[in-house]
Amino acid sequence: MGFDEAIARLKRQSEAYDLVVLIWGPGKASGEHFEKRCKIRDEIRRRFFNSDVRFSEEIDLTDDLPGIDKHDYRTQEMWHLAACDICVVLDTSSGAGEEIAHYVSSREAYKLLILTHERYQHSTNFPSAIRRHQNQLFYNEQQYASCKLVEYVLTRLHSVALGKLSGIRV
Amino acid sequence: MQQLVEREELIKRYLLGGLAGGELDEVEDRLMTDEEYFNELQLVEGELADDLVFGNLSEDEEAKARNLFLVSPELRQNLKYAEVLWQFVAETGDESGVNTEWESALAEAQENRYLLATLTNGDWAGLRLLATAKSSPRRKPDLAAGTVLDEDALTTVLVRLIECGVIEEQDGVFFCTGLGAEVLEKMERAAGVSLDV
Amino acid sequence: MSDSRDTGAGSGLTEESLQLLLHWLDPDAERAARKYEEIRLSLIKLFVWRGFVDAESFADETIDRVVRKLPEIMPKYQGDPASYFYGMAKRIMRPLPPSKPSTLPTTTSEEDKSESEQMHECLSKCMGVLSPANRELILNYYAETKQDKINARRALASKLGMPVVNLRVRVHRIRSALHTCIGGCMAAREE
Repeated sequence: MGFDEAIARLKRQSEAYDLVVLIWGPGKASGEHFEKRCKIRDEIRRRFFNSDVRFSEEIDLTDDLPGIDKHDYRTQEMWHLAACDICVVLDTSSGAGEEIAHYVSSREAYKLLILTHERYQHSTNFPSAIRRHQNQLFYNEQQYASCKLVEYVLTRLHSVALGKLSGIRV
Repeated sequence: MQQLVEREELIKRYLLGGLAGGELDEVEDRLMTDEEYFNELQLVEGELADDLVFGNLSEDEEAKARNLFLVSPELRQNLKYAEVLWQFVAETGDESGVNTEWESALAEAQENRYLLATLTNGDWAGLRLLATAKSSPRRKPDLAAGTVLDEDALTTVLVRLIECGVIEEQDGVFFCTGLGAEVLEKMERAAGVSLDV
Repeated sequence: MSDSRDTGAGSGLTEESLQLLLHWLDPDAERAARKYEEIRLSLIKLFVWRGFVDAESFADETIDRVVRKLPEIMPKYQGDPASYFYGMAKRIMRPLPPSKPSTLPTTTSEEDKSESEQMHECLSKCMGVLSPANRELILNYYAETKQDKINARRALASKLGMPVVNLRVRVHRIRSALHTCIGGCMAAREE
């Protein structure tokens, strides 16, 4: 097998990897932000065709974890986070930090990819380590409106898929 | 840990010309035959440059270290780099942040993502360079042969590969490290491919 | 396989003798090439660390002498070939005192200053090539290990949740990456 063919195969296999992806963010009531969340989900499904991409609110674990519904939503979401390969967080409001602060300091924090509007760049919602280690990226209006945001996510997923395929922690 | 400290002391004495007889033979034979030990010597040599620049050596050690670092163009250069780095740090100031075990998980994941991005960016040029270096150690022009990278881009990719610990450079020759071979092997095994060039 | 020497006229190493040497090092051609490079580099460093200027020439002389001996030693030598090279290197070193550093070329203080400035600019640029985490680590390391190196390293390693030896290896790699980058930047400026 030639080297080029080997790389092509590696690419195909990483895109075929059955990633488990969570997407957190604004709910249906938020209009265009929810649409953006849906767009990210749809693009991930298109590019990584074996992936299981969900919003937390769509997930019901009661069959696998009986009694899980008795726990508060935060605990349930921790289970979701533990089970996923990557969690994309579309962070469009100043209050979002408080909502996910609990997860940001957990041992699953490395799975987070938090996309925050640049206007909140100077806020102290998250520990600086989250930003330093690129678990939080900032976007501007233009990037939000165009495909750039989705590209960020897909680029990250590409690394995650390849890492998972190769047994390298990402 | 104590053994590590003793080994380091021995290596330092060797580099400063303080060994003789059997001890000298033992260290030198080992540096020729044991790759890890050779790497350890290089590491201690680098730290000695720092000690010299920062005045952490005794008078006698300083004189011997100066002799060592003046012997070859490469070591003279390394000493200059150490001086410039210290100066840069002094001007920039430290950037210490919150560092905990939690953060080490973030750091590890980021390092690995950085490695994978370095390997796959630019149509997988990094992976190609790594596989080429693994097949046999090469100088820059030979490494670049299989890619379309210009000089600047090639240097950037090589620097990042060295940063990630998968390639090392010695005297202008680029080698695949044990870690680099391990990463290639993992990818080969996972995807059922051969990355031989 | 990369070798800075030709195997043509003026060198002790012909193509035939090189192939013989490689075969002695390892029957597999790739592994043999790698071993050859490792041995050559180890010899160069050996001569450098022993204080010999022009260490490359001494390393090549060592290799040439080993190659001349190959027909004699190949049938009977047992052990790591690298050890044999070391033995030959010792024989070369024995009668010779190491060269004195005062024979090295000197530069004016103006030239030194200009080179340092250029290096500083290149370093600044190269720091930007590093990952943010590595940039931060190297700055922390150099800021904190100025004095009381051992305790400072231990404290930094503990903060980062890694053994001290891992920290040192990582710093060594980052330093090595910076050297390569600065070298490339300085060379580009000279063109």
